[in-house]
Amino acid sequence: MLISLRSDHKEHLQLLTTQPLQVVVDFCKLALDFLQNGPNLKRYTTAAQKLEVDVDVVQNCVFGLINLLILSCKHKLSEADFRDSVLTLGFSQEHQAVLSKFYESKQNDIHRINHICINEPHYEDLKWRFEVQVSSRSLLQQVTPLIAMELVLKTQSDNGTEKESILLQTDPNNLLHIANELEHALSESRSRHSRKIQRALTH
Amino acid sequence: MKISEKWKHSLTSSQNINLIPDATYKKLVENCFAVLTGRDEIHSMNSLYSSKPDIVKEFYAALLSVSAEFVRCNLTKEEIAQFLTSSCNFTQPRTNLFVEHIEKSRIGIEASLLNIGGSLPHLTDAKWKIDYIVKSNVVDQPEGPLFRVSLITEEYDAEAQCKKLKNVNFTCTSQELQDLVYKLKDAVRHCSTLHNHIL
Amino acid sequence: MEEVDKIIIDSLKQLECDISEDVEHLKQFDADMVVSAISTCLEAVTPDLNLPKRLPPSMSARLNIASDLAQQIKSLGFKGDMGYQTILYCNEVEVRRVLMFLIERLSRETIKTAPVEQTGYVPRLVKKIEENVKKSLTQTWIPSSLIHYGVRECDGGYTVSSFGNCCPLYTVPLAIPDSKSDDEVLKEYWIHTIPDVTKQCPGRTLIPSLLFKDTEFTEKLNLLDAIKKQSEVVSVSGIPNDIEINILPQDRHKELTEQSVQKLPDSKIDDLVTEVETIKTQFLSLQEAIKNNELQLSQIRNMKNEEQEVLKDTLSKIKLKTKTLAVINKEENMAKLKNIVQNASDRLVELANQWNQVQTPLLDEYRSLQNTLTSDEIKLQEEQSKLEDVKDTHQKLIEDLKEKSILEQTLMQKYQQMNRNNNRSAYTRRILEIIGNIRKQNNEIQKVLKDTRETQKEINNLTGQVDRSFTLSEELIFADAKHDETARRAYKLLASLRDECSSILKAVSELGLSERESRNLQEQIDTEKSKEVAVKLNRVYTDLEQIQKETQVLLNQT
Repeated sequence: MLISLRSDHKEHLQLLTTQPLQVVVDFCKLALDFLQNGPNLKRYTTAAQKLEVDVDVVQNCVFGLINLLILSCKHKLSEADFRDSVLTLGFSQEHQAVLSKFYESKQNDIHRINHICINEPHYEDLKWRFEVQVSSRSLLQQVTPLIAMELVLKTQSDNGTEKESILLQTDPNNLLHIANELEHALSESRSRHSRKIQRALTH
Repeated sequence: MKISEKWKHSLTSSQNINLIPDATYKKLVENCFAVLTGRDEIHSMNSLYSSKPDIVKEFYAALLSVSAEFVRCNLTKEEIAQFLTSSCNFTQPRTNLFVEHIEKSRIGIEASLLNIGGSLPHLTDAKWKIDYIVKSNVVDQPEGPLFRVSLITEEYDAEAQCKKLKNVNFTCTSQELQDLVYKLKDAVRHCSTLHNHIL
Repeated sequence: MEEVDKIIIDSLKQLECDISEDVEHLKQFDADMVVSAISTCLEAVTPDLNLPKRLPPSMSARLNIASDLAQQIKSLGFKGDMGYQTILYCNEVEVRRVLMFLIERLSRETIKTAPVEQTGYVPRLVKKIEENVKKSLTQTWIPSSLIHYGVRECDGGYTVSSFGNCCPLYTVPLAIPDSKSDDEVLKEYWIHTIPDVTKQCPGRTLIPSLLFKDTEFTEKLNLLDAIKKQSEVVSVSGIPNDIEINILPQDRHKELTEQSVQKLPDSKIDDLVTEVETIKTQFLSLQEAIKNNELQLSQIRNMKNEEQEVLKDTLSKIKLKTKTLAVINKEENMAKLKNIVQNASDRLVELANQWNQVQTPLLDEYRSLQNTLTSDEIKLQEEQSKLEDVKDTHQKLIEDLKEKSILEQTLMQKYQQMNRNNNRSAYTRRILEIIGNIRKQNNEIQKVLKDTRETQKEINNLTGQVDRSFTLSEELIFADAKHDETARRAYKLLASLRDECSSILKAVSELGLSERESRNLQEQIDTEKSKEVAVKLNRVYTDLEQIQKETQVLLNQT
């Protein structure tokens, strides 16, 4: 599939199509810096001075580049699709090679950043130990097998990941039931029916 | 086992048939085990007082605490009978009645005693559903399966004086659920190897 | 599946189940063989079972036996579909599953050694733990809201399935009548006002309050006693004894004065009081003086006694000295004494010499004897230690021998057991073969996968290209269409072309989908066919007829 950009977005990127290869590489670096550290006006002004254009133009160009990446990631463009999309924007073969490489290297990072939007606790770890309660103050002789567990849940939020650990206990009977139940869930997700749904959704 | 002298005295002194007739004794024993197993009293206490309410109250309290103490220390039938006849002057029929009742409700009383004390939230059930994300604001492509797991735990609620259900909710991807299931199965496997003399 | 069949048949043969040599697949099993295989397995798993090995000719008896066996297998925990039909109208797949399950059971059961009855706290505890875990794991799961107090009863014991109802231990003080007490007011309170213990606190705190007295520090009566005792001790030590003496005379004075008080006027009384006071002080000082004097007297008496003792001693000494002086004063006596002394000392020297003469040889002899004795003792000790060493080694050798012989026995036993299932190598060989096969299959699967992936890629590329070329040409023609009429027509044509093409693509992909589906259906049909329902139905019909005949015969008989 080919992505189509808005016309103003296209305009912002036009600056790069006429520049030599080295400039494109430098802009990729600027975009990378933006991803890691946010906008850096100083570097944009120096770049603008070098190219003898307005700072705004440079800034818009960097933002355009980032937006292109985000859109490509959103649609999960394959390598070939990305190549064709870039070519239709008016970039040369060499430019396209640089941009493709950039896209390839940063694809995963952007996916990761995108996923942060949904803040729900995720399973992280489970620790368990088997214990037997042999006596208590109110019942001196007993044999009660128990499994104590620590469930660690991870929630991603704007200021990093938060981990929450929950202490639980259960008995072998319930443990067996829960293990079977969750295993059932897992096998259900691999059943023919589920695969059909998955296939239907991807087409 | 330590039964205080006060209880022994209460039990002994109430053996006089004039103070507590056999019929009242039987009803008191039935009430006692109903209370200890967490049920309501079968007979109304007011109907059992007759002329000596204080004696009946005292005997009832002694009966309750002694029965709880017997089960707490896991005394056998024979030991209980021995104690009642020798230390508290119980007659043979009364001892037999008591022992018969305590054996019948022993597990119930043990359950009551087990349920005294603090404990972690107890996991009793799990609910799950499988979600597929068709589209989201950041990703156009479908994603999934995502497992929404809800572990159901029970905990004692001091205010409501009963157990309260609490859900622990979280989301898993396939790999994460696989990991969780693997760990749970590992625990189950450990338990099931126990009865093959591994311990 | 062949390997599995071989393993199953092998294990069955080991159980002395009569299977003829030419049977190599489970396909060749008929109902009779299945019954004999299952019943031998069941007998091996649960030793005290006695099951028929052959099917009887009567149809209803057959049915009974088959459902019996099915029940047994289910009770062992078989999860699959299991009934008399699995045994009587056997199908290869199901029979394989059942036999695999049974044989797995078998190996596990034979490993188990006879449990040794152990005593002592820890072994009993371990045994109890094992039992409870087993109970808990084998019970069917029940939602915990159906379980009272989270405790489930099962064959004589209980298992805990939830501590959700576990209430923290909390006690309250309970008011309980006490028949030992004689306090009437308290009794009134007990009889009329006080509620039963069961109504004095919430239900869950009743048992802890009865069992434990956390809120009562000590018994109240004892506390009071303790305080009383404490105050008594203070009063005894704090107030000096002589006060009592002081009080007594005062009282007496008061009595005396009281009699005359009414007659005397106030001034007189005052005078008298002061007089009494002065007399009292005088009396006190006099008493003090008497005490002092008495003390002095006793001291003086003591001194006197001591002096007398000293006097006696000196007197006796003086007597002795005067006597000796009288004896010594005479000359003869003096010489005699000197002589006697001389003689005695001479005699002493002589005796010493004699003693020496006698003593030296004896001493020598004694020493030599002692020397020999010690050397003998040393030798003896050496011998003894040697003997002990020998004994030790003897003991050790015997122990070694015992251990070795026990080991030998156990090894022999093991060896004999090993003999029974020495087809381990055969198993491993088979497993290796299976692994090889699987690897080959895996390679093939990988190849196929690669092929499909490549095709998929090609398809994707092609669709992508189609898409792209359309968009490109669309853009180009669209730009022209604003000015040119033919271009506009071309644009329309392009649009229709696009629609057509996409419908063709759709049709092709649908074709693929339906092909796949038809293949799936074909597979399902094949599996259904393999179950040979028609043949089995026929058999069921004939069996049914037979049963009807049998019942008819029985009816006729009656």
